Amino acid sequence: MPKICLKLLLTILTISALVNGGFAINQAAEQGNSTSPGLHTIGDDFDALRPMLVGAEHAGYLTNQNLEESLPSARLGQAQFRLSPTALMPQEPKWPAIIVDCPNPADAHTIADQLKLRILYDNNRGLLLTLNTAYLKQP
Amino acid sequence: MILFLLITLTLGWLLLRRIAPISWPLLSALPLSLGLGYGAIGFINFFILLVFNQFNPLVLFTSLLSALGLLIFLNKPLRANWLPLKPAKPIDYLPLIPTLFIGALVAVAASHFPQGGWDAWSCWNFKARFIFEAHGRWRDMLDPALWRTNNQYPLFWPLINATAYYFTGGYQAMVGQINSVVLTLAMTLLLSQSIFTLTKNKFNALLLPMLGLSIPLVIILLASQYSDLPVAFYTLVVVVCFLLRRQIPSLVIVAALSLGALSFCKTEGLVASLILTGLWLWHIKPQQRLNFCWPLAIAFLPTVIFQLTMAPHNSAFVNGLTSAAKPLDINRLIVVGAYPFFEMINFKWLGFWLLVVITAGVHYKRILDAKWRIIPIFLSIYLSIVLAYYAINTFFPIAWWMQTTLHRILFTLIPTILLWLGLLI
Repeated sequence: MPKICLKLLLTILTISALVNGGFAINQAAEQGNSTSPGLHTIGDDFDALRPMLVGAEHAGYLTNQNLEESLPSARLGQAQFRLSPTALMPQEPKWPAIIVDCPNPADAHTIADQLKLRILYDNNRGLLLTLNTAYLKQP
Repeated sequence: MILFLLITLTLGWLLLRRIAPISWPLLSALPLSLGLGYGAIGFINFFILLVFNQFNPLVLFTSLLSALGLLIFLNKPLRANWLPLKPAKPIDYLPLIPTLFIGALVAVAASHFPQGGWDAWSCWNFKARFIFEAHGRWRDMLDPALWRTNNQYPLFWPLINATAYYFTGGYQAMVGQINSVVLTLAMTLLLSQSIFTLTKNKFNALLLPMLGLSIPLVIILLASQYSDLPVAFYTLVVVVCFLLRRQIPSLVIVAALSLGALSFCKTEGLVASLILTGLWLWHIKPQQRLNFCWPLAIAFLPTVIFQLTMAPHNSAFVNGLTSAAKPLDINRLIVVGAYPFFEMINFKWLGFWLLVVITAGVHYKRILDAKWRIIPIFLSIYLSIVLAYYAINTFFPIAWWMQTTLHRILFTLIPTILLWLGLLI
Protein backbone atom coordinates (compact mmCIF):
# COMPACT_ATOMS: atom_id res chain seq x y z
CA MET A 1 0.00 0.00 0.00
CA PRO A 2 1.45 3.43 -0.89
CA LYS A 3 2.65 5.39 2.13
CA ILE A 4 0.18 8.21 1.53
CA CYS A 5 -2.78 5.76 1.68
CA LEU A 6 -1.44 4.28 4.88
CA LYS A 7 -1.08 7.72 6.44
CA LEU A 8 -4.59 8.66 5.32
CA LEU A 9 -6.02 5.44 6.79
CA LEU A 10 -4.10 6.01 10.01
CA THR A 11 -5.47 9.54 10.26
CA ILE A 12 -9.06 8.43 9.56
CA LEU A 13 -8.88 5.61 12.10
CA THR A 14 -7.31 7.86 14.75
CA ILE A 15 -10.04 10.44 14.20
CA SER A 16 -12.64 7.65 14.47
CA ALA A 17 -11.18 6.60 17.82
CA LEU A 18 -11.25 10.20 19.04
CA VAL A 19 -14.86 10.67 17.86
CA ASN A 20 -15.78 7.38 19.55
CA GLY A 21 -14.17 8.66 22.74
CA GLY A 22 -16.15 11.89 22.55
CA PHE A 23 -19.40 9.98 22.14
CA ALA A 24 -18.46 7.70 25.03
CA ILE A 25 -17.91 10.63 27.38
CA ASN A 26 -21.15 12.20 26.22
CA GLN A 27 -23.06 8.98 26.89
CA ALA A 28 -21.47 8.65 30.31
CA ALA A 29 -22.45 12.24 31.15
CA GLU A 30 -26.02 11.59 30.02
CA GLN A 31 -26.17 8.44 32.11
CA GLY A 32 -24.83 10.31 35.12
CA ASN A 33 -27.34 13.15 34.81
CA SER A 34 -30.35 11.10 33.84
CA THR A 35 -33.08 10.39 36.34
CA SER A 36 -34.16 7.17 34.65
CA PRO A 37 -34.00 3.97 36.72
CA GLY A 38 -30.82 2.04 37.21
CA LEU A 39 -28.70 5.05 38.04
CA HIS A 40 -26.90 6.00 41.17
CA THR A 41 -29.00 9.05 42.00
CA ILE A 42 -32.34 7.33 42.52
CA GLY A 43 -31.46 6.11 45.99
CA ASP A 44 -30.09 9.33 47.50
CA ASP A 45 -33.01 9.61 49.93
CA PHE A 46 -32.09 6.32 51.64
CA ASP A 47 -28.89 7.86 53.03
CA ALA A 48 -30.98 9.66 55.67
CA LEU A 49 -32.00 6.28 57.15
CA ARG A 50 -28.47 4.99 57.54
CA PRO A 51 -27.65 6.53 60.97
CA MET A 52 -31.00 5.33 62.33
CA LEU A 53 -30.34 1.73 61.31
CA VAL A 54 -26.89 1.39 62.88
CA GLY A 55 -26.79 -2.00 64.59
CA ALA A 56 -29.92 -3.31 62.89
CA GLU A 57 -28.95 -6.61 61.32
CA HIS A 58 -32.18 -6.93 59.34
CA ALA A 59 -35.04 -4.66 58.34
CA GLY A 60 -38.21 -5.31 56.39
CA TYR A 61 -38.71 -3.47 53.12
CA LEU A 62 -42.32 -2.94 52.08
CA THR A 63 -43.63 -1.35 48.94
CA ASN A 64 -46.90 -1.40 47.02
CA GLN A 65 -44.93 -1.64 43.77
CA ASN A 66 -44.19 -4.76 41.77
CA LEU A 67 -40.57 -5.65 42.55
CA GLU A 68 -40.27 -7.48 39.25
CA GLU A 69 -40.41 -4.12 37.46
CA SER A 70 -37.36 -1.95 36.81
CA LEU A 71 -37.91 1.12 38.95
CA PRO A 72 -39.11 -0.64 42.14
CA SER A 73 -36.35 -3.22 41.75
CA ALA A 74 -33.76 -0.44 41.35
CA ARG A 75 -35.13 1.34 44.44
CA LEU A 76 -34.77 -1.86 46.48
CA GLY A 77 -31.25 -2.42 45.12
CA GLN A 78 -30.24 1.13 46.00
CA ALA A 79 -31.77 0.84 49.47
CA GLN A 80 -29.89 -2.42 50.03
CA PHE A 81 -26.62 -0.88 48.85
CA ARG A 82 -26.95 2.39 50.78
CA LEU A 83 -28.07 0.75 54.03
CA SER A 84 -25.48 -2.04 54.09
CA PRO A 85 -24.74 -3.93 56.33
CA THR A 86 -28.42 -4.03 57.32
CA ALA A 87 -29.92 -6.83 55.24
CA LEU A 88 -33.24 -5.68 53.78
CA MET A 89 -35.85 -8.42 53.54
CA PRO A 90 -38.25 -7.57 50.71
CA GLN A 91 -41.98 -7.63 51.55
CA GLU A 92 -41.33 -9.20 54.97
CA PRO A 93 -43.14 -7.29 57.74
CA LYS A 94 -41.80 -9.50 60.53
CA TRP A 95 -38.78 -7.40 61.52
CA PRO A 96 -38.59 -4.74 64.26
CA ALA A 97 -37.49 -2.07 61.78
CA ILE A 98 -39.53 -1.71 58.61
CA ILE A 99 -38.87 0.58 55.67
CA VAL A 100 -41.97 1.55 53.72
CA ASP A 101 -41.23 2.92 50.27
CA CYS A 102 -44.03 3.98 47.92
CA PRO A 103 -44.11 6.59 45.15
CA ASN A 104 -47.21 8.10 46.76
CA PRO A 105 -46.84 9.25 50.42
CA ALA A 106 -50.50 8.45 51.15
CA ASP A 107 -49.95 4.80 50.14
CA ALA A 108 -46.93 4.56 52.44
CA HIS A 109 -49.00 5.87 55.36
CA THR A 110 -51.82 3.44 54.54
CA ILE A 111 -49.40 0.50 54.76
CA ALA A 112 -47.98 1.84 58.05
CA ASP A 113 -51.51 2.23 59.49
CA GLN A 114 -52.64 -1.22 58.36
CA LEU A 115 -49.66 -2.92 59.98
CA LYS A 116 -49.72 -0.63 63.04
CA LEU A 117 -46.21 0.60 62.39
CA ARG A 118 -44.88 3.53 64.43
CA ILE A 119 -43.31 6.09 62.14
CA LEU A 120 -39.79 7.13 63.16
CA TYR A 121 -38.88 9.03 60.02
CA ASP A 122 -40.93 10.40 57.15
CA ASN A 123 -39.37 12.18 54.18
CA ASN A 124 -42.85 13.28 52.99
CA ARG A 125 -42.18 11.70 49.58
CA GLY A 126 -43.31 8.17 50.41
CA LEU A 127 -40.28 6.90 52.30
CA LEU A 128 -40.87 5.90 55.94
CA LEU A 129 -38.74 4.22 58.57
CA THR A 130 -41.02 2.56 61.09
CA LEU A 131 -40.96 0.52 64.26
CA ASN A 132 -42.96 -2.68 64.15
CA THR A 133 -44.96 -2.42 67.39
CA ALA A 134 -46.68 -5.77 66.80
CA TYR A 135 -43.31 -7.47 66.68
CA LEU A 136 -42.19 -5.78 69.88
CA LYS A 137 -45.27 -7.07 71.74
CA GLN A 138 -44.41 -10.66 70.92
CA PRO A 139 -42.87 -12.61 73.82
CA MET B 1 -5.61 3.74 47.76
CA ILE B 2 -2.08 4.35 46.46
CA LEU B 3 -0.70 2.08 49.18
CA PHE B 4 -3.20 -0.62 48.20
CA LEU B 5 -2.16 -0.43 44.56
CA LEU B 6 1.53 -0.40 45.49
CA ILE B 7 1.12 -3.51 47.62
CA THR B 8 -0.90 -5.20 44.86
CA LEU B 9 1.69 -4.43 42.22
CA THR B 10 4.66 -5.39 44.44
CA LEU B 11 3.01 -8.65 45.45
CA GLY B 12 2.28 -9.44 41.80
CA TRP B 13 5.75 -8.43 40.63
CA LEU B 14 7.45 -10.61 43.25
CA LEU B 15 5.22 -13.52 42.27
CA LEU B 16 5.92 -13.05 38.58
CA ARG B 17 9.64 -12.66 39.33
CA ARG B 18 9.58 -15.88 41.33
CA ILE B 19 7.62 -17.80 38.68
CA ALA B 20 9.54 -16.52 35.66
CA PRO B 21 12.95 -15.10 36.62
CA ILE B 22 13.76 -13.57 33.25
CA SER B 23 14.39 -10.06 31.93
CA TRP B 24 10.87 -8.78 31.46
CA PRO B 25 9.88 -5.97 29.14
CA LEU B 26 8.40 -3.37 31.53
CA LEU B 27 5.15 -3.10 29.59
CA SER B 28 4.54 -6.86 29.75
CA ALA B 29 5.53 -7.17 33.39
CA LEU B 30 3.19 -4.40 34.59
CA PRO B 31 -0.19 -5.90 33.56
CA LEU B 32 0.81 -9.46 34.44
CA SER B 33 2.04 -8.31 37.87
CA LEU B 34 -1.18 -6.43 38.50
CA GLY B 35 -3.25 -9.48 37.54
CA LEU B 36 -1.23 -11.73 39.84
CA GLY B 37 -1.37 -9.12 42.62
CA TYR B 38 -5.14 -8.76 42.46
CA GLY B 39 -5.42 -12.55 42.33
CA ALA B 40 -3.23 -12.98 45.41
CA ILE B 41 -5.24 -10.40 47.36
CA GLY B 42 -8.54 -12.04 46.44
CA PHE B 43 -7.13 -15.43 47.43
CA ILE B 44 -5.71 -14.26 50.79
CA ASN B 45 -8.83 -12.32 51.72
CA PHE B 46 -11.10 -15.25 50.90
CA PHE B 47 -9.21 -17.56 53.24
CA ILE B 48 -9.29 -14.91 55.98
CA LEU B 49 -13.08 -14.78 55.59
CA LEU B 50 -13.19 -18.55 55.70
CA VAL B 51 -10.98 -19.03 58.76
CA PHE B 52 -12.05 -16.01 60.85
CA ASN B 53 -15.59 -15.81 59.47
CA GLN B 54 -15.20 -12.07 59.04
CA PHE B 55 -13.23 -9.40 57.26
CA ASN B 56 -10.33 -9.00 59.65
CA PRO B 57 -8.19 -5.91 58.86
CA LEU B 58 -5.39 -6.81 61.26
CA VAL B 59 -5.04 -10.35 59.93
CA LEU B 60 -5.35 -9.04 56.37
CA PHE B 61 -2.58 -6.50 56.82
CA THR B 62 -0.36 -9.04 58.59
CA SER B 63 -1.03 -11.60 55.86
CA LEU B 64 -0.18 -9.14 53.11
CA LEU B 65 3.07 -8.19 54.86
CA SER B 66 3.89 -11.88 55.45
CA ALA B 67 3.19 -12.68 51.80
CA LEU B 68 5.50 -9.85 50.75
CA GLY B 69 8.19 -11.04 53.21
CA LEU B 70 7.87 -14.63 52.03
CA LEU B 71 8.16 -13.63 48.39
CA ILE B 72 11.20 -11.47 49.11
CA PHE B 73 12.73 -14.46 50.89
CA LEU B 74 11.88 -16.81 48.02
CA ASN B 75 13.36 -14.33 45.57
CA LYS B 76 16.60 -14.37 47.56
CA PRO B 77 18.80 -15.79 44.79
CA LEU B 78 17.56 -13.02 42.53
CA ARG B 79 18.20 -10.15 44.92
CA ALA B 80 21.19 -8.86 42.97
CA ASN B 81 18.86 -7.48 40.36
CA TRP B 82 15.38 -6.64 41.63
CA LEU B 83 14.13 -5.07 38.47
CA PRO B 84 15.63 -7.11 35.65
CA LEU B 85 13.84 -5.19 32.94
CA LYS B 86 14.72 -5.55 29.31
CA PRO B 87 16.35 -2.42 27.85
CA ALA B 88 13.79 -0.73 25.63
CA LYS B 89 13.89 1.57 22.61
CA PRO B 90 11.44 4.48 22.39
CA ILE B 91 9.26 2.54 19.92
CA ASP B 92 8.78 -0.18 22.54
CA TYR B 93 6.69 2.29 24.53
CA LEU B 94 4.15 2.60 21.71
CA PRO B 95 1.54 0.50 23.62
CA LEU B 96 1.38 3.31 26.16
CA ILE B 97 -0.50 5.49 23.64
CA PRO B 98 -3.68 3.35 23.38
CA THR B 99 -3.38 2.53 27.08
CA LEU B 100 -3.40 6.15 28.19
CA PHE B 101 -6.08 7.04 25.63
CA ILE B 102 -8.53 4.34 26.78
CA GLY B 103 -7.58 4.85 30.44
CA ALA B 104 -8.35 8.56 30.20
CA LEU B 105 -11.72 7.92 28.54
CA VAL B 106 -12.71 5.38 31.19
CA ALA B 107 -11.57 7.68 34.01
CA VAL B 108 -13.69 10.55 32.70
CA ALA B 109 -16.66 8.26 32.04
CA ALA B 110 -16.39 6.72 35.53
CA SER B 111 -16.40 10.16 37.13
CA HIS B 112 -19.91 10.73 35.75
CA PHE B 113 -21.43 7.83 37.68
CA PRO B 114 -19.26 7.19 40.74
CA GLN B 115 -21.28 4.22 42.01
CA GLY B 116 -21.04 2.47 38.65
CA GLY B 117 -23.82 0.79 36.73
CA TRP B 118 -26.85 -0.99 38.14
CA ASP B 119 -25.15 -4.31 38.86
CA ALA B 120 -22.22 -2.50 40.47
CA TRP B 121 -24.30 -1.16 43.32
CA SER B 122 -26.94 -3.87 43.42
CA CYS B 123 -24.46 -6.73 43.32
CA TRP B 124 -20.68 -6.23 43.25
CA ASN B 125 -20.15 -3.12 45.38
CA PHE B 126 -22.99 -4.13 47.68
CA LYS B 127 -21.14 -7.37 48.42
CA ALA B 128 -17.84 -5.53 48.89
CA ARG B 129 -19.48 -3.13 51.32
CA PHE B 130 -21.30 -5.92 53.16
CA ILE B 131 -18.13 -8.01 53.56
CA PHE B 132 -16.29 -4.95 54.87
CA GLU B 133 -18.99 -3.64 57.21
CA ALA B 134 -20.96 -6.65 58.44
CA HIS B 135 -18.06 -8.37 60.26
CA GLY B 136 -19.22 -11.76 61.59
CA ARG B 137 -22.58 -11.46 59.80
CA TRP B 138 -21.12 -11.30 56.29
CA ARG B 139 -22.83 -14.56 55.32
CA ASP B 140 -26.21 -12.80 55.71
CA MET B 141 -25.67 -11.48 52.19
CA LEU B 142 -25.95 -15.07 50.97
CA ASP B 143 -29.52 -15.30 52.34
CA PRO B 144 -31.79 -16.59 49.55
CA ALA B 145 -34.16 -13.65 50.26
CA LEU B 146 -31.48 -11.40 48.77
CA TRP B 147 -31.42 -13.28 45.46
CA ARG B 148 -31.81 -10.00 43.55
CA THR B 149 -28.21 -9.19 44.50
CA ASN B 150 -27.07 -12.24 42.49
CA ASN B 151 -25.68 -13.70 45.69
CA GLN B 152 -24.79 -16.98 43.98
CA TYR B 153 -22.00 -15.14 42.14
CA PRO B 154 -18.45 -15.60 43.48
CA LEU B 155 -16.59 -12.98 45.46
CA PHE B 156 -13.36 -12.09 43.64
CA TRP B 157 -14.12 -8.47 42.68
CA PRO B 158 -15.94 -7.66 45.96
CA LEU B 159 -12.98 -9.00 47.94
CA ILE B 160 -10.56 -6.78 45.99
CA ASN B 161 -12.72 -3.71 46.64
CA ALA B 162 -13.29 -4.65 50.30
CA THR B 163 -9.51 -4.88 50.77
CA ALA B 164 -9.12 -1.46 49.20
CA TYR B 165 -11.79 -0.03 51.58
CA TYR B 166 -9.48 -0.99 54.42
CA PHE B 167 -6.73 1.17 52.93
CA THR B 168 -9.09 4.09 52.31
CA GLY B 169 -10.53 3.93 55.83
CA GLY B 170 -13.98 2.68 54.82
CA TYR B 171 -16.38 2.55 51.91
CA GLN B 172 -15.50 5.13 49.25
CA ALA B 173 -17.10 5.27 45.81
CA MET B 174 -13.72 6.08 44.30
CA VAL B 175 -12.39 2.61 45.17
CA GLY B 176 -14.54 0.91 42.54
CA GLN B 177 -13.78 3.66 40.05
CA ILE B 178 -10.01 3.49 40.55
CA ASN B 179 -9.86 -0.30 40.47
CA SER B 180 -11.84 -0.29 37.22
CA VAL B 181 -9.57 2.33 35.65
CA VAL B 182 -6.41 0.51 36.81
CA LEU B 183 -7.63 -2.82 35.45
CA THR B 184 -8.62 -1.13 32.18
CA LEU B 185 -5.12 0.33 31.89
CA ALA B 186 -3.60 -3.10 32.55
CA MET B 187 -5.89 -4.81 30.04
CA THR B 188 -5.28 -2.28 27.26
CA LEU B 189 -1.55 -2.36 27.88
CA LEU B 190 -1.45 -6.14 27.81
CA LEU B 191 -3.52 -6.21 24.60
CA SER B 192 -1.44 -3.64 22.75
CA GLN B 193 1.85 -5.00 24.05
CA SER B 194 0.90 -8.56 23.07
CA ILE B 195 -0.07 -7.57 19.53
CA PHE B 196 3.20 -5.64 19.26
CA THR B 197 5.31 -8.48 20.68
CA LEU B 198 3.67 -11.22 18.65
CA THR B 199 3.33 -9.47 15.29
CA LYS B 200 5.79 -6.53 15.43
CA ASN B 201 3.00 -4.58 13.73
CA LYS B 202 2.96 -1.04 15.18
CA PHE B 203 -0.16 -0.10 13.24
CA ASN B 204 -2.27 -2.91 14.70
CA ALA B 205 -0.82 -2.55 18.20
CA LEU B 206 -1.77 1.12 18.20
CA LEU B 207 -5.12 1.17 16.44
CA LEU B 208 -6.88 -2.10 17.27
CA PRO B 209 -7.07 -1.35 21.03
CA MET B 210 -7.84 2.32 20.37
CA LEU B 211 -10.69 1.57 18.01
CA GLY B 212 -12.07 -1.59 19.60
CA LEU B 213 -12.06 -0.36 23.19
CA SER B 214 -13.20 3.21 22.46
CA ILE B 215 -16.66 2.09 21.29
CA PRO B 216 -18.94 4.12 23.61
CA LEU B 217 -20.74 1.01 24.86
CA VAL B 218 -17.40 -0.58 25.74
CA ILE B 219 -16.19 2.54 27.56
CA ILE B 220 -19.43 2.64 29.57
CA LEU B 221 -19.03 -1.03 30.51
CA LEU B 222 -15.37 -0.54 31.43
CA ALA B 223 -16.43 2.32 33.72
CA SER B 224 -19.41 0.47 35.20
CA GLN B 225 -17.42 -1.36 37.90
CA TYR B 226 -18.89 -4.72 36.88
CA SER B 227 -17.11 -8.02 37.38
CA ASP B 228 -17.20 -8.41 33.60
CA LEU B 229 -14.01 -6.34 33.49
CA PRO B 230 -11.86 -8.84 35.46
CA VAL B 231 -13.45 -11.64 33.41
CA ALA B 232 -12.31 -9.88 30.21
CA PHE B 233 -8.87 -9.17 31.69
CA TYR B 234 -8.10 -12.67 32.97
CA THR B 235 -9.43 -14.29 29.78
CA LEU B 236 -6.95 -12.14 27.85
CA VAL B 237 -4.13 -13.00 30.28
CA VAL B 238 -4.74 -16.74 29.85
CA VAL B 239 -4.79 -16.44 26.06
CA VAL B 240 -1.66 -14.25 25.96
CA CYS B 241 0.17 -16.74 28.21
CA PHE B 242 -0.86 -19.49 25.80
CA LEU B 243 0.51 -17.60 22.79
CA LEU B 244 3.81 -16.84 24.56
CA ARG B 245 4.23 -20.20 26.30
CA ARG B 246 6.97 -21.42 23.96
CA GLN B 247 9.15 -18.32 24.49
CA ILE B 248 8.51 -18.25 28.27
CA PRO B 249 7.54 -21.74 29.52
CA SER B 250 6.92 -20.47 33.09
CA LEU B 251 3.85 -18.63 31.80
CA VAL B 252 2.10 -21.98 32.21
CA ILE B 253 2.02 -21.20 35.94
CA VAL B 254 0.82 -17.63 35.41
CA ALA B 255 -1.97 -18.97 33.18
CA ALA B 256 -2.99 -21.56 35.78
CA LEU B 257 -3.17 -18.93 38.54
CA SER B 258 -5.11 -16.59 36.24
CA LEU B 259 -7.57 -19.37 35.42
CA GLY B 260 -8.28 -19.68 39.14
CA ALA B 261 -8.92 -15.94 39.41
CA LEU B 262 -11.11 -16.04 36.29
CA SER B 263 -13.23 -18.84 37.75
CA PHE B 264 -13.76 -16.82 40.96
CA CYS B 265 -14.88 -13.64 39.15
CA LYS B 266 -18.31 -14.69 37.93
CA THR B 267 -20.23 -17.80 36.91
CA GLU B 268 -19.49 -16.93 33.27
CA GLY B 269 -15.82 -16.71 34.27
CA LEU B 270 -16.04 -20.22 35.72
CA VAL B 271 -17.41 -21.53 32.42
CA ALA B 272 -14.69 -19.68 30.47
CA SER B 273 -11.97 -20.97 32.80
CA LEU B 274 -13.12 -24.59 32.47
CA ILE B 275 -13.09 -24.36 28.67
CA LEU B 276 -9.68 -22.69 28.64
CA THR B 277 -8.31 -25.25 31.11
CA GLY B 278 -9.39 -28.03 28.75
CA LEU B 279 -7.78 -26.27 25.79
CA TRP B 280 -4.54 -25.73 27.72
CA LEU B 281 -4.39 -29.38 28.75
CA TRP B 282 -4.98 -30.37 25.15
CA HIS B 283 -2.14 -28.23 23.85
CA ILE B 284 0.67 -28.37 26.41
CA LYS B 285 3.34 -31.02 26.47
CA PRO B 286 2.78 -33.90 28.94
CA GLN B 287 5.87 -32.88 30.94
CA GLN B 288 4.39 -29.39 31.42
CA ARG B 289 1.07 -30.69 32.73
CA LEU B 290 2.29 -31.01 36.31
CA ASN B 291 3.54 -27.41 36.27
CA PHE B 292 0.11 -26.41 35.04
CA CYS B 293 -2.03 -28.58 37.29
CA TRP B 294 -0.65 -27.89 40.76
CA PRO B 295 -1.01 -24.09 40.64
CA LEU B 296 -4.37 -24.61 38.95
CA ALA B 297 -5.56 -26.81 41.83
CA ILE B 298 -4.48 -24.19 44.38
CA ALA B 299 -5.95 -21.27 42.44
CA PHE B 300 -9.29 -23.04 42.01
CA LEU B 301 -9.70 -23.66 45.75
CA PRO B 302 -11.70 -20.47 46.51
CA THR B 303 -14.09 -21.23 43.64
CA VAL B 304 -14.55 -24.84 44.69
CA ILE B 305 -15.10 -23.95 48.36
CA PHE B 306 -17.48 -21.10 47.51
CA GLN B 307 -19.54 -23.09 45.03
CA LEU B 308 -19.78 -26.20 47.21
CA THR B 309 -20.25 -24.70 50.66
CA MET B 310 -21.41 -21.09 50.41
CA ALA B 311 -23.22 -20.20 47.21
CA PRO B 312 -26.98 -20.22 47.69
CA HIS B 313 -29.21 -21.98 45.20
CA ASN B 314 -29.70 -19.77 42.15
CA SER B 315 -33.27 -18.51 42.66
CA ALA B 316 -33.29 -17.11 39.13
CA PHE B 317 -33.06 -20.54 37.53
CA VAL B 318 -35.87 -22.67 36.14
CA ASN B 319 -34.90 -25.72 34.12
CA GLY B 320 -37.01 -25.35 31.01
CA LEU B 321 -36.32 -28.96 30.03
CA THR B 322 -38.16 -30.30 33.06
CA SER B 323 -40.44 -27.47 34.18
CA ALA B 324 -44.14 -27.77 33.47
CA ALA B 325 -44.83 -24.15 34.46
CA LYS B 326 -42.13 -22.57 32.29
CA PRO B 327 -41.15 -25.10 29.66
CA LEU B 328 -38.61 -24.48 26.92
CA ASP B 329 -40.62 -23.82 23.75
CA ILE B 330 -39.87 -23.23 20.09
CA ASN B 331 -40.37 -19.45 20.39
CA ARG B 332 -37.62 -19.25 23.00
CA LEU B 333 -35.29 -21.25 20.80
CA ILE B 334 -36.00 -18.95 17.84
CA VAL B 335 -35.25 -15.85 19.94
CA VAL B 336 -32.05 -17.41 21.34
CA GLY B 337 -30.95 -18.32 17.81
CA ALA B 338 -31.82 -15.01 16.17
CA TYR B 339 -31.14 -12.42 18.87
CA PRO B 340 -27.31 -12.56 18.77
CA PHE B 341 -27.45 -11.61 15.08
CA PHE B 342 -29.59 -8.53 15.82
CA GLU B 343 -27.39 -7.67 18.80
CA MET B 344 -24.26 -7.78 16.69
CA ILE B 345 -25.62 -5.54 13.93
CA ASN B 346 -26.99 -3.08 16.47
CA PHE B 347 -25.63 0.43 15.92
CA LYS B 348 -24.32 0.56 19.51
CA TRP B 349 -21.43 -1.70 18.41
CA LEU B 350 -20.53 0.69 15.56
CA GLY B 351 -19.99 -2.18 13.15
CA PHE B 352 -17.41 -3.92 15.34
CA TRP B 353 -18.85 -7.39 14.78
CA LEU B 354 -19.13 -6.73 11.07
CA LEU B 355 -15.41 -5.93 11.10
CA VAL B 356 -14.74 -9.20 12.95
CA VAL B 357 -16.76 -11.22 10.41
CA ILE B 358 -15.14 -9.49 7.42
CA THR B 359 -11.61 -9.93 8.83
CA ALA B 360 -12.27 -13.58 9.61
CA GLY B 361 -13.72 -14.01 6.10
CA VAL B 362 -10.77 -12.36 4.38
CA HIS B 363 -8.29 -14.41 6.40
CA TYR B 364 -10.40 -17.57 6.55
CA LYS B 365 -7.44 -19.81 5.78
CA ARG B 366 -5.60 -18.61 8.88
CA ILE B 367 -8.52 -18.59 11.32
CA LEU B 368 -7.61 -22.00 12.69
CA ASP B 369 -3.84 -21.57 12.50
CA ALA B 370 -2.33 -23.93 15.07
CA LYS B 371 -0.65 -21.01 16.86
CA TRP B 372 -3.87 -19.29 17.86
CA ARG B 373 -6.66 -21.75 17.12
CA ILE B 374 -7.59 -21.91 20.80
CA ILE B 375 -9.11 -18.44 20.42
CA PRO B 376 -11.81 -19.32 17.86
CA ILE B 377 -12.36 -22.72 19.48
CA PHE B 378 -12.77 -21.09 22.89
CA LEU B 379 -15.12 -18.44 21.50
CA SER B 380 -17.29 -21.05 19.75
CA ILE B 381 -17.60 -23.34 22.77
CA TYR B 382 -18.15 -20.48 25.21
CA LEU B 383 -20.85 -18.78 23.15
CA SER B 384 -22.58 -22.13 22.51
CA ILE B 385 -22.74 -22.83 26.25
CA VAL B 386 -24.00 -19.32 27.00
CA LEU B 387 -26.73 -19.60 24.34
CA ALA B 388 -27.71 -23.05 25.61
CA TYR B 389 -28.06 -21.57 29.10
CA TYR B 390 -30.25 -18.76 27.77
CA ALA B 391 -32.48 -21.41 26.22
CA ILE B 392 -32.63 -23.83 29.14
CA ASN B 393 -33.06 -21.33 31.98
CA THR B 394 -36.61 -20.12 31.42
CA PHE B 395 -36.87 -18.01 34.60
CA PHE B 396 -36.67 -14.67 32.74
CA PRO B 397 -38.54 -13.61 29.59
CA ILE B 398 -35.91 -14.34 26.95
CA ALA B 399 -36.06 -11.10 24.91
CA TRP B 400 -35.66 -8.92 28.01
CA TRP B 401 -32.93 -11.14 29.43
CA MET B 402 -30.84 -11.18 26.27
CA GLN B 403 -31.38 -7.47 25.75
CA THR B 404 -30.02 -6.68 29.21
CA THR B 405 -27.17 -9.18 29.43
CA LEU B 406 -25.90 -10.42 26.05
CA HIS B 407 -23.90 -7.26 25.34
CA ARG B 408 -21.99 -7.82 28.58
CA ILE B 409 -21.16 -11.40 27.63
CA LEU B 410 -19.84 -10.11 24.28
CA PHE B 411 -17.96 -7.29 26.01
CA THR B 412 -15.89 -9.77 28.04
CA LEU B 413 -14.66 -11.34 24.79
CA ILE B 414 -13.67 -8.13 23.01
CA PRO B 415 -10.02 -7.87 24.21
CA THR B 416 -9.40 -11.52 23.24
CA ILE B 417 -11.10 -10.98 19.87
CA LEU B 418 -9.01 -7.84 19.26
CA LEU B 419 -5.88 -9.85 19.95
CA TRP B 420 -7.07 -12.49 17.49
CA LEU B 421 -7.72 -9.82 14.86
CA GLY B 422 -4.25 -8.43 15.49
CA LEU B 423 -2.78 -11.85 14.77
CA LEU B 424 -4.95 -12.44 11.72
CA ILE B 425 -4.43 -9.12 9.94
